[in-house]
Amino acid sequence: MTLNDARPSDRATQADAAASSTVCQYPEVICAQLRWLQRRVFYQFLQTGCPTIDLEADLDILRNQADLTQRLALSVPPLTTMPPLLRGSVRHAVAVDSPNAQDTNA
Amino acid sequence: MKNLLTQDPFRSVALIRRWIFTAFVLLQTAFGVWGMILVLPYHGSTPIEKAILITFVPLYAFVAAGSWMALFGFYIRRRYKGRGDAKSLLARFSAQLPTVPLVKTAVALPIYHEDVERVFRGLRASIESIKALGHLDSFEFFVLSDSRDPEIWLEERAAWLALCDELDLHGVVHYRRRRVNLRAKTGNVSDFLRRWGRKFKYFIVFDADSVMSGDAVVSLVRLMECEPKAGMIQTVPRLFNARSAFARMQQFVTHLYGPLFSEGLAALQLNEAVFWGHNAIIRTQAFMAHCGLKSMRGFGLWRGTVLSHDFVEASFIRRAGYDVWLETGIEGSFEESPPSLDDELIRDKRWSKGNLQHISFIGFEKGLATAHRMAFMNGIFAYLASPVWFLFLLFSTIEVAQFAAGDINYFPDAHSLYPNWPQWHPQWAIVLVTSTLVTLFLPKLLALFELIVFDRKRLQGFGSVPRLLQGFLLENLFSILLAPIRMLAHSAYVVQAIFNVTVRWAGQNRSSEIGWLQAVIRHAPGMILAVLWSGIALSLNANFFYWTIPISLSLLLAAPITVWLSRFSLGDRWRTQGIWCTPPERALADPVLVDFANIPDARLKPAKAPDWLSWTLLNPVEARIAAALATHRQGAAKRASTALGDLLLVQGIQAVPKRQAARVLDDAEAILRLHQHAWMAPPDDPWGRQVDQLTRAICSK
Repeated sequence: MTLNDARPSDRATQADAAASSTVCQYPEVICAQLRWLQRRVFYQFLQTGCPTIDLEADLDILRNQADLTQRLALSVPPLTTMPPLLRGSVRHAVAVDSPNAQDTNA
Repeated sequence: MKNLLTQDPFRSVALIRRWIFTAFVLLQTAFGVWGMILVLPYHGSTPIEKAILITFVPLYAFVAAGSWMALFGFYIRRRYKGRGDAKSLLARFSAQLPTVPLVKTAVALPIYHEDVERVFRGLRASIESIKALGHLDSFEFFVLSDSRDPEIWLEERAAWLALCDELDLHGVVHYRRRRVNLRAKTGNVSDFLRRWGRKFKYFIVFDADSVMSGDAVVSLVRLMECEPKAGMIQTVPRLFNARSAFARMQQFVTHLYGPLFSEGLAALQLNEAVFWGHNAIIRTQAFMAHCGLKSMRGFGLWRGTVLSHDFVEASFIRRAGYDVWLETGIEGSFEESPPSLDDELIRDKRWSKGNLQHISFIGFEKGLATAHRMAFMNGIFAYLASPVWFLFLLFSTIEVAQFAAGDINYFPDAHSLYPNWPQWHPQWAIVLVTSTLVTLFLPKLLALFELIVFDRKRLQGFGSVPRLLQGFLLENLFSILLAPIRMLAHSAYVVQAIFNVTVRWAGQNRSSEIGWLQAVIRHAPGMILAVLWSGIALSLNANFFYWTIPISLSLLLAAPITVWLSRFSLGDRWRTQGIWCTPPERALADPVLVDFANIPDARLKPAKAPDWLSWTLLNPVEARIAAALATHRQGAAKRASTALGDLLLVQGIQAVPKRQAARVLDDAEAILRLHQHAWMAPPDDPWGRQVDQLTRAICSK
């Protein structure tokens, strides 16, 4: 399948460009602060279910970015879907080992 | 194993039972054919009457076989007072069963594009039932996914993880998705056996809609331990969880008539029963050694993957010397019905092709038991009967047309000097029709009689007797209406199978109603055919027209019947009114079904969250889980996933088709790189926009 063949439904949710960025009516400096605060808080919410906001300190963009970077660097938990392999073979059925062939012709 | 096979203790009993059964069927068929010869005006001497007789013989024999099977089941049930056949495993080992120690057993659940919530609900109910008995440590569960759509398999994986977390089942319930799903379900199970089969003495196969109680599962393992010759034990799954009127009717049928038919079948097959593909236990080593299915090497239909593999596997394991039992006495084995006639027909399309493939096994596979060759024939004729019935109707119409056209031939035999006067014997026609109706309906009446008179305990599950009788009459009315619709559809499927029309391998719809447009499109050919046939019949002979009404009316009403019966509202209303009530719907339900109904809906992601692929890459928990479960890629595969990750990083997730984009989930580094990039991306970056969109979607009301 080429990219052009893909139906819209085959693609991941399309970000609506017009509606994608949060409308912010404050000066850009404040908006940038709010955006990074929102990022960090929402990430924390998804990660822990319990976001925290320090109203004075958390408007610092660098602080929020640093916190987010720390959170993003969290290690991957050990997890396996399947037990260790114990390989065997599934042999194709053959008629030669059919000791009961005659017995069962009822 | 060979020593065990020198004497088959069931052979003589099986022979006696099967010969008696065959004698009854042949005798009745002979009477039926004789009656038909008397009914036909030229007594079968003209070519068209010969054609009518040729189609009539197998049809009548098939109906008679079904009827005698149920009568045999009735006899066995009454002879042993509902305890089951004395030869059955349960009857022979029930006394020692509770003390038999369990051995490690796998429960394999192969799935492909199924309703994820439903699959894991059923699995959870079964696991909790086993856990309640205190035997969970003897089992491991394997969800074997062949799903290709990332939106489905990511949900499956999330559901698996949620189940493991909630019930603390890590290391007990496993999930595996095949990246290359060769040979459909057979390949899926074989792949599991090759990798992990040697760890388990037995494995139990579940279907996507299976639920089994702990008692049933534990009994199966213990019976296998008691009978070392047993290669497979098949339970009789009863339908449950039906909501649409159609599914509830099927559920009513299996609960009311099922016991008679399954008892008769089990008593005739004894240790040469068949495997129905699920809700059964299998001796792993025997299966791995003797039941691997090669691709078929014939032509057309008989080339490629064996579709209906279960019958074949049962015949192969029997050929290797192991017994295959149908154990009717094990309660607590359940499955679901398709919700509508159309969904049933879609399933039948696959089954009809699969069953017709069995012709090659009947003819060319050496060493199979005769009982299994007969089972193949029965499965084939279950679908072949439809075109044969169609031809019977066609030939009958031609016969009537000839007479209506005044084309009466007094010398059908060109070499005879004496005229052959056509004779009409309406009294014989009535006798023949009556005998056919008795053959068709006697098993159902016997099942009803047995339930009301001898089985008071089970009767409670069907509600009051008046409601039971009302349900019985309604079911018979609908079965008469549905028979011609099924006949026409099956005839088309058989023809398509013979011409090897590709059958799409797809998950079944188990939960949707049918729309009018879909129903009309599907049944339009039958409706047109019905109008044409009735018109021709009316123009030929008014009496013949009346005979065609039951069939043509059904075909004409196919679309409304399909839509109507698929309605959940109708099913719910009739349940409230007590029509088609069955034990699972009432207080007599198995506890495992009560648990099944009470399991809360698993909320795997917020309702407003984006698709599963985006959610997996953006959600901190899901992304780490995905990274933990990703394969460690090397070489060319690693280079490809890195390149895909680079592309997605620059252009965003929507730049690539979803199935292709999902391949990035095979690479832990790529997953984490995308995840970190998305959350640190500026707002005008595609990933930054995606994160903003996610934030608003989740947080907005």
